[in-house]
Amino acid sequence: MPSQPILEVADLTRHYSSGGRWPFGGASWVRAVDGVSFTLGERETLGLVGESGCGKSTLGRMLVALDRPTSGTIRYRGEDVHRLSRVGLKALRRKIQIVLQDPYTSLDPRMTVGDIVAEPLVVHGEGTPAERRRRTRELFELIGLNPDHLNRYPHEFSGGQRQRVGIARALALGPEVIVCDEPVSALDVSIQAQVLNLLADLQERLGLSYVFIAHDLTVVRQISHRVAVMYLGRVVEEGPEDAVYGRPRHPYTQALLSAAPPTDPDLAREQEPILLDGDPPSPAAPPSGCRFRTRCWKAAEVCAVEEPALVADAGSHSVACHFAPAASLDPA
Amino acid sequence: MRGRKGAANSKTAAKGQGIVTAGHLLEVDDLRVEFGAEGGPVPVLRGVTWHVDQGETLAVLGESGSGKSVTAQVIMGILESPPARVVGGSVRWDGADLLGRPESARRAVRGEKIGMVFQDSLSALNPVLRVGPQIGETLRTRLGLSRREARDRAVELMRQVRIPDAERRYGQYPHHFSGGMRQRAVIAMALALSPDVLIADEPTTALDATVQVQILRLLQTLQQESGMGLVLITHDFGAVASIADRVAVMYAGRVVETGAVRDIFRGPAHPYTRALLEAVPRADRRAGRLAALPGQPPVLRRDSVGCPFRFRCPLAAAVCAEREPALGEHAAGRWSACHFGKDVIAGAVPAHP
Repeated sequence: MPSQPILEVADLTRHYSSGGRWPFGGASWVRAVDGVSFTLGERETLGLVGESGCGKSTLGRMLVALDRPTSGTIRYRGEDVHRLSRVGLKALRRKIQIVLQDPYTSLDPRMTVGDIVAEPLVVHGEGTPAERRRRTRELFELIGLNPDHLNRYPHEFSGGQRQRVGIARALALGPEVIVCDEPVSALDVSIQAQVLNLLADLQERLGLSYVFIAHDLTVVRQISHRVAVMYLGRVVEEGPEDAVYGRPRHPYTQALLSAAPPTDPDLAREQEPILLDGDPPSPAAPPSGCRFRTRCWKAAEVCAVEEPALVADAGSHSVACHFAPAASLDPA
Repeated sequence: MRGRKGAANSKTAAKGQGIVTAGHLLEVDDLRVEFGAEGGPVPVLRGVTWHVDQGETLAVLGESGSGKSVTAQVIMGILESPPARVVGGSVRWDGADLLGRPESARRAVRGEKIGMVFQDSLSALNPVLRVGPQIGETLRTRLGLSRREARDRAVELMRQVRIPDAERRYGQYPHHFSGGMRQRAVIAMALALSPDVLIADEPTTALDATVQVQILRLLQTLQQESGMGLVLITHDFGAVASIADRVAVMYAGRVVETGAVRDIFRGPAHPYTRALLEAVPRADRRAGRLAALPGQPPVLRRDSVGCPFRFRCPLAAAVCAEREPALGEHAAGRWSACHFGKDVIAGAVPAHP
């Protein structure tokens, strides 16, 4: 386990105004991210998992300074990311990069893949054209693409290969942290496994830290050391991968896990899924108190009144639920 | 069996499967479809064979481009042609060929006998019409029900798919519905004429995990309540493991393995199925490293020869480049299109790197 955190996120919020504008009624606020804290260590992967509207992508965008928080701080090696000067911010962007979900829209179709990967080097004024060329070839080898294909266009590549190009671009400036926002959800199972293995290899070889954002619990378990489960802008459970998956303590985590059946038909049929009522509520009008209470089978009066705090046990496994089972016990 | 396995073209074997268990409710037999393209037509389905009977769930499992949705589109008569063209094979309903019959006869089967649910519920519903009347529309046009009768039946259907407060929901517009509720409404539409077979094409893919499991369980319950046949087209292994009776695994426009779900998931008979099962990340344990299948599906051409999986297959031998294996029975009920099907069932397959 890492010692010094590379990223520290404290009480981060991002509220967007939406809906009516004066004089047609007051604006409503979507609290996309609403008080999230975590740390990321060196060579560590933190998985952020949750359903649509839970705020995981907004969080990812703030981590790479593509979006500004409404309040709260993000510290990279102790420095407040959103108080940096322009020069400081540019330096920061070398260190924190992002890989996006859709390899079909995140690559400019009119640029060759070689130019796409070299673009960050150009923007940051790195090296001569010849040096950039050499670096691009190295990057292509690193991510398992043929460097002789540098002059091809994105449409000549498959989805998995495009995602590799996106990863190469993120690696170009030698970052320490990569935010991966649903990097494999658009890919087929066999290709997904290739990309997950590649990310694991790159972490090993380059000493990277990842914030890995996904809605698929199985993918997140495969790659993460720690996992944070988000629901409507809040982290409801966070801890080491084996603890969160092996002994889930929040009812939402338990429901999510039961919705990912094993691939053994007998085990899958034995496992009775926890069927939640309805869809996740809109983040524009989250329920009072505990946001999960409207779909929770444990909900009681206190849940409507008081929002449960995220409380950690001795094994740094935290949960925000008034009725979470004690840490040492198995889930109900 | 030996002879069938050695059969030079897949048609023989596909027909053979039909003979073993004759007379299925819905049967796709050696279906071949090509898409027109610059530089000659591209084969998309290259002999797809599967069947479904009342009271059972067949999962058609495959990755994108394998042809699993195109098969359903042919059955429902919604495949755009051109560019697509059915160049061979048949779709039979209760023994009678559908493709050769006039459109009016086909239309009678589709909708009334076969219902279909699509992945994207938002585009399956008309945004400017109320949800309830959309469900009742087929009842009025097909069965000639009055407005009042159609309304009552639509509300009943909405209850059947567990839409809470169906009376009030009847008059709401699609945008008032959440993704999960919209998918329920679309299922209600497909069930309106009480079909004997329901084809669900990736019905949960666009939904959140906790909603996916609701819809999957709903389909299972509806199938059990009505005794209809369910064809679940999906790439979700967990869903297949949870509700399917039988599975047809597709690769490169063909069914490469078919059989009972337990047999296939416990001991696959095709190296592709095996590789997929090993590549799926799991929630119940963390694999050190996923056994990733190298490469990607081939680009199909009319003049392609040999097994299309051989470029990614750890078992590939000289014979695999020479001729494409037919879908043959390697053990009782264990059909796969592999020259080495017996070895794969026995587990004698080197692992992927």
